[in-house]
Amino acid sequence: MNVDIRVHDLVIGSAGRFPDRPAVHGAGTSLTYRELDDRANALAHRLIAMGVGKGDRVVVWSPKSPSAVAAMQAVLRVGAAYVPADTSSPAGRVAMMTRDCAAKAVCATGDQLTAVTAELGDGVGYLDLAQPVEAAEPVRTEVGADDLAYILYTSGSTGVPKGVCLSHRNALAFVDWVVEELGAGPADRFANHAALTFDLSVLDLYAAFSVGASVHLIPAELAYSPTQLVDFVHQQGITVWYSVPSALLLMMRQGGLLESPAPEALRAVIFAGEPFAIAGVRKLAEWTNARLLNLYGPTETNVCTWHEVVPADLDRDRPVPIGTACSGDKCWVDTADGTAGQPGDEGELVVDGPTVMLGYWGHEPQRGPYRTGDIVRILPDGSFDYAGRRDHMVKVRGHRIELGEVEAALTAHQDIADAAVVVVGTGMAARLTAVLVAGSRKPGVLSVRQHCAQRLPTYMIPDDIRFVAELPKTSNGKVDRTGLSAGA
Amino acid sequence: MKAGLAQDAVVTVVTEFVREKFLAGDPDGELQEDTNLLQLGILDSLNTAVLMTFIRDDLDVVIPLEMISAGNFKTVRSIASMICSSAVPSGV
Repeated sequence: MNVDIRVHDLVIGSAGRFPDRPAVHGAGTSLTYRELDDRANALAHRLIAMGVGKGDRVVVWSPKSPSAVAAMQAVLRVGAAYVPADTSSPAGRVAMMTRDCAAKAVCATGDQLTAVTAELGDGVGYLDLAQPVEAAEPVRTEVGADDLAYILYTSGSTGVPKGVCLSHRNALAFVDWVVEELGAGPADRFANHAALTFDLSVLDLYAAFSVGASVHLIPAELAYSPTQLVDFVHQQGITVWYSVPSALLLMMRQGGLLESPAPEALRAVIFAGEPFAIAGVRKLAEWTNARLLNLYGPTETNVCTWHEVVPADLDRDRPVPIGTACSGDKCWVDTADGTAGQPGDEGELVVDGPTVMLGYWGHEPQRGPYRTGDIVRILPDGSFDYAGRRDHMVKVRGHRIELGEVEAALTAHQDIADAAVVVVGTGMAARLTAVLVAGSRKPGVLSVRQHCAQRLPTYMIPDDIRFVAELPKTSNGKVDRTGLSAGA
Repeated sequence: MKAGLAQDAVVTVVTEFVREKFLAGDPDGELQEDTNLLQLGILDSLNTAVLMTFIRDDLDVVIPLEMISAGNFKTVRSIASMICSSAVPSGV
């Protein structure tokens, strides 16, 4: 990594070298590098005029669009950090995040801008992403490699979301690794399937920007529309696809992906976020000659291990390994007796290196290695196989959810006496199921959803809601999640 | 179900589908034509996929890529409009 490069220098550099190449496409518009650069500068001046400067935070709450991407660049250019908010989050939750990280400004537009303004009032600045921009002088504020670049809020087990703080060094250690591993170049066309709040989008945006390639945004509603998603891959001439396995399974099973030949241009299919059932990987490998890469890492470390699918993997009866360390990190296993694991051992995966987060916002800084909470098994060649979680964090179609946070939201309802949330099914069919004990009167299912929708992003709202007289307990008095999950 | 899709009929079909598939039959009759399906998480990623497959396979309508937007998925009414304006009369 060039020690003087920061995340916002990627667009600045490519705008110098490839001003007329496409940079970002989506929401019916497209910006070249020059246009993205100009827009980022113009928005940066607006932020400066609101008093945003080095060391501040700015929330970006918007459906995916080139304008939202330009706003993220603008925030970095003034030396501040951007905080993407989930488009499906209620305004109240966005306001809570804004207050939690003491953001100076919120970038939004339309109904969302109105709603968040109503929640937050005059305490912060507002930047309307739909406003036309005027020409402006370049802005580039000097920041350090270990300064905050962005905060990604994730589900928190106690009912409050946690802000994972990532530095310029954190982001670039991963981006530099992936650009080199892919041999990415200006002719590449990256698909952006994940939400901007999800660290998968760091690859799509910044691998593209670092080499002058283009990134093609997939709006949330398109992300799970099977036929249309397959059309998108063909129409946009995607060369590098990166998504959770669920999206690939959906395209294969319901979108007809495998029924037409793989696009010639497609050269890498990358997946992460949850285990990919091996049958799906086999079908993909038969369909395309593109490289198939499995990436692994929690938001706190971004991608810290990787594995490239080789023919021998297809004979396995379980998901492909998560592989070996990357992005300059070191990864090892802490076994139950506290010693470093050897092949055959199982234990918690621990990560140290340049991608390990600065810490959670408002908490003590992260010092030293990060314990992932993921249990892995060490294979004979020293690489890792994912085995499960130590706690109640689950993944539903790649979204990380702390069951405790959903339960806390449910029990805040005046007519819910007790709640347990479990995941039923796996992969694309996984459903978040809430088992509830009613209070003095039984609330309607939509009213429970309405209640959750005021507190949680939609991916955390239970898919199924059912009522029981009492929650089953284990012999030690805890809620019997295993029994609930099997019986739901 | 291609040519001349009547908006009212489509609203009825979509309402029934959402009730049966996503709301366990909606026993309390809470779903309205203008209930915000996105905000309530009724159309999450999984259910969007199920709905799109239903529209394609059962209603025989393919929604063009350009029509996929949050506004069109917001309510039963907007989904019905999206279906009706995507349905080209057959035999053209």
